[in-house]
Amino acid sequence: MTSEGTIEIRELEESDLDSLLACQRLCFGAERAKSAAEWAWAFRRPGLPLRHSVALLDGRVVGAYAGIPERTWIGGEERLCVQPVDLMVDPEHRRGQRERGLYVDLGEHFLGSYGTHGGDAVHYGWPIDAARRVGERLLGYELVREELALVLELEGRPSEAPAGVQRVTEPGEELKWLWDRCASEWGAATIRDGAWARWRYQQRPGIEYLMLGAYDEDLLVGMATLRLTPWEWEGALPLCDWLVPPGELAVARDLEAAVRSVAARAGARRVVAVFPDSSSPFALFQELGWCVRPTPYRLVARSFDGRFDGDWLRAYWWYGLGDSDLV
Amino acid sequence: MRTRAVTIRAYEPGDEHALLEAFNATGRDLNPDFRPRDLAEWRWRFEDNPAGWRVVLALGAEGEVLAQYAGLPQRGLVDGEEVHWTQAVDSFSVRRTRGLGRRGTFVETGELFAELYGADTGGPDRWMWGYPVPSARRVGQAFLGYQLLRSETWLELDRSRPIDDGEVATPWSWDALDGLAPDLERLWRARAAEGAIVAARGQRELAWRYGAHPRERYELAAHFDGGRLEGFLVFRRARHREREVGLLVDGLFDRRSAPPLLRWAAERARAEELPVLLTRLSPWCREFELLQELGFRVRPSRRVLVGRGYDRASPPELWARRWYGTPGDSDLF
Repeated sequence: MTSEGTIEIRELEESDLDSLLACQRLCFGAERAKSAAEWAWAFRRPGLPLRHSVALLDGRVVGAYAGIPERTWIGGEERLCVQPVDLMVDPEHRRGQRERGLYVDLGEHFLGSYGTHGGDAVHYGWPIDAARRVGERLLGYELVREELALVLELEGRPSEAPAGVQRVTEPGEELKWLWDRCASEWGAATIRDGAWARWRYQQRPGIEYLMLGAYDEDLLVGMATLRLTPWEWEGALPLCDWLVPPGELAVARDLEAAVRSVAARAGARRVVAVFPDSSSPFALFQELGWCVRPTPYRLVARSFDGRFDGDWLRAYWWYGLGDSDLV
Repeated sequence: MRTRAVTIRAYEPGDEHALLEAFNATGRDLNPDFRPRDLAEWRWRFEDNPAGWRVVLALGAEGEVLAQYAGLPQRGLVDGEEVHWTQAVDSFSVRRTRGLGRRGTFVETGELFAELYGADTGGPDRWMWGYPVPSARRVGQAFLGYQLLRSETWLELDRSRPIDDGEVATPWSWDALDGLAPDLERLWRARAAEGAIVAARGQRELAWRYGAHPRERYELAAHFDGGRLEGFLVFRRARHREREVGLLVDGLFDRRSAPPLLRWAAERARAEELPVLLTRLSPWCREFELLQELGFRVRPSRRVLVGRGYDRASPPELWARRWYGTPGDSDLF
């Protein structure tokens, strides 16, 4: 526990929740602030530890630094990686970007408690510019990549989705088998299994996703996930997830055709995906007619394990939009 | 000037002999394939550059060079204002002063470089940039204010993916560049007026950078419409990831002039049996999209662009997005 004047910084306790959500409404506005259900979905992950620091003044939350924990396969073992989101400081307690302030104190508490002393392998995220600058200057974050988007412009009449592609309604153990096949070419990636997919794409309050599975008889051989609820890119549906094992070109083509078909029928004008530029889908999608465009998103990371520095993460880390809080 | 056991100061005429000796010795020490630099090449890089030179040296008691922090400046237009920026190149420190991860002679040399040439302390440069090797990048991040700006990409055109038939641009001799001088000036200024941050690509700059290069052979093609220059492209053969490629080193073009210029480049690649054409541009430039429409694909690169801003009003990450940076802006190509 640390304090700044009468401000106390410590891990969130259950009794802080109402005050925390009130602080969110103050910092982000009522529309962007999380509801209790959204907060619980993001941070109270079954089987995963809480990653949440708060600053309190006279028992009232005036700042928070929280992260979504993810089971991650990295460097040949399972570790916890965490995506900090919803970082906030009550406007009354903010200082300029060049000054150390409560935001940095909160960040240091979070990074120290969960990273340096807590065993997390990497903290990462796609922050807004102001947070990124402070993070890079004062909290040890490093740019991994300025993201490029793959954009598919949808033109003409929607085609039929290939017959072998169906909606995945109950993701289960077969998803982990598929992920295992895909992960053979990745150095690091969030572990996707049935529980993860249900949490990420079926249980998130207020956002609708569609999981599409490619099947060989009854075996799941590929999966793609679209967000159907509109998001910040006007007229575009984000392709959140893409799991196709290396070399399965026919599966990839079928799944991509299904994505086109579903998106066009949903009235989208384009589909947007983000993959590391060194990954096989980044090359494949260009061959299928997707164009590469710049984005304002910058992936930054703070590693707590010397093996996984920025260069390593740039080369070996697999992720998609579904790994981020952007979709 | 800072004086202790070592003296750190800007280059003075006559330093080049000791400087080259230390540069070549350090290069051989670090890389068995290192190609020593001779005086003629040094003079071309630093004395003949139309935008000038940036060199700071650390010298020992006997006048021996212990470290260098150097740069190749460029002149350009930003929002109508003429400004300078610099690519950091050729920086080194000799083995006995080296100590990665701690402040040392090299860092002090870099600090004086920033003090002498950075706009925030009265110098000419708004920012510096470079593609440092990882060890130099880490020292720069720790001690010299380097920011990582982006991991670069390549734009690659497989020669088996033909560009449709049509007009082919005109090969142009570097000796005849004078005849294009007013048009070249018009072209780069027009691109800058559209909001890109473009280093000057006038007759003087191109003649120095490509025509007078002491080692590499560059070829130029121009596209005209009614006798008026509408675009140009610079091509050279280069080795990239264990294969020979046709490198589009530089150019200014638009939707109409790009196809004839690329047909010329594709012909050159075919003649030299080079499987791909390769180039690099910021993804924020409209030409990045145009080249994809013409068949180029985006491929990863190991290069990480770093920068340091000397002016709080123009942070390097914003500069990087507007920068029209071709391979030829860098000394690597």
